[in-house]
Amino acid sequence: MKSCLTALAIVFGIMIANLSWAASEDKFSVSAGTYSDNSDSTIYTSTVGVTKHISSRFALDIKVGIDAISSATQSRGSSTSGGSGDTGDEDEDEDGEVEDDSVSGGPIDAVTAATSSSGGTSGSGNADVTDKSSESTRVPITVSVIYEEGDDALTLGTYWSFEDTYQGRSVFANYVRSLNMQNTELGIGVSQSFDNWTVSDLDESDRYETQLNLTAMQLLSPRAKMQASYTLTASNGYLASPFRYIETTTGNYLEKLPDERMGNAVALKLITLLDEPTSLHLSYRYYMDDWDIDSHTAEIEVLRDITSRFTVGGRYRYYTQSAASFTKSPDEYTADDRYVAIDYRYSEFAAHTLGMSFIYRPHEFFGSTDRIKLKFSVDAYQTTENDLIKYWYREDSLTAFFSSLSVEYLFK
Amino acid sequence: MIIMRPSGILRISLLLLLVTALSACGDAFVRVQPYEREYFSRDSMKFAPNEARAAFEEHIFSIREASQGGTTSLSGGCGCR
Repeated sequence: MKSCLTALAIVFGIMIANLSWAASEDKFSVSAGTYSDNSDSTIYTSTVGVTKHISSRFALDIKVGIDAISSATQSRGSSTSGGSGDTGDEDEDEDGEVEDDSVSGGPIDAVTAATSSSGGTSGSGNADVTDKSSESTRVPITVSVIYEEGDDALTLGTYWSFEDTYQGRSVFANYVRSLNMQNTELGIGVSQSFDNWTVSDLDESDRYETQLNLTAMQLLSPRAKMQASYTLTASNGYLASPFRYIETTTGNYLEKLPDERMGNAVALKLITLLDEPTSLHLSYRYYMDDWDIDSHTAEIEVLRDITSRFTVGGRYRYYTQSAASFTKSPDEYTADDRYVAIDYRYSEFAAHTLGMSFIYRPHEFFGSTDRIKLKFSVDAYQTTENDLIKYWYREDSLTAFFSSLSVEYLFK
Repeated sequence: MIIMRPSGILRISLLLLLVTALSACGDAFVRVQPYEREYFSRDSMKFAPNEARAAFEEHIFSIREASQGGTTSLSGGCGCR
């Protein structure tokens, strides 16, 4: 129950009244990111953010972004059935099987749910998967107010996200308290989202998500600290995508997923100084949910201060997950199946990420002294071979590259 | 709308108790004095040395993988998930 989670959060907040965190830093930032992969999906994102104290205790934090998403569209996936794959309109019958009539009016993008702005479909449908591109934009806006007093910090905020076919809305609260002469920091956060698809002809289009986040940070020595966190995520509503469906020898099926999901994630992170200029970051996360997906994420990163103004880092991340209990091979679905999981994210796979990051703190930058930070990162991402990736993208695995660039200006 | 299982409530209750206990016995931990915290002010010693990268990759991984959570940030939903 959402109210139960909220009540727990409030009770917990009262129990540890007097919390805090490190004082928020007044700054202005501009960042950009790019993502591209071998399924011809690309994402360009840019964000402008400002954090500014409006009084001695209150600070305002605003972030506005815009994402441009484009991806190769697929005409009903790749047909392993050799079906006609015609692009006529289709409807879902009571069994979830797709019959002639429209699905949702656009080509399918299994990755981003972006739909074609042109509204066309790719035609042949029997294996032609990359003959058109779809484009979508997303505008996320986050506004929050931070109240700080002594060792306590309380953040209240709201988030909106506008896409062509999806709207995200959420509210969140976060409370952090420093203890033990700021050697220990405890935090609790709750968020509630009220999202919905704006696609017509959906019986149900709402999606709700409640998150509870608990964190604890502890300084271990003058050279080491650790952080433990736990996240409970409870989702319900229409959790599938209206843009995914498959063709099989027994028929065409829209993606159908359970309308509830509850996941738990526990994570540990340790940072220690190896020697004077070199720090080591180690982290591990275990995730499990009631769809029987569990995953392990391990990451190691080494950052080295080459000079007092230049930091270089390298990292490796390993991720592995099991399949959801209802995931099958695409050819195995029948009209009797209660759920149809088309997205490879609900199947078993592993992924490797290798990346580098750079931080430069110029002494003077356009007349400002020690106020600017330039940060750049580049990463390569590779999944293991996966049947659903082959089915959708005609690739054995996904290979992606993503990068970020940001400029931070510190107010003083 | 959200039906929480008894085991879920128990798990959260235990965690809350654990965190409360930690807050009560914070003095038992090593106490690093303020003048000993020079290293923690470095970018390389922050949990998210590059916030823009952290935010962007969290979005990327949520698009590409089924797991979420375990970070300290709260983010809103998007259609790509």
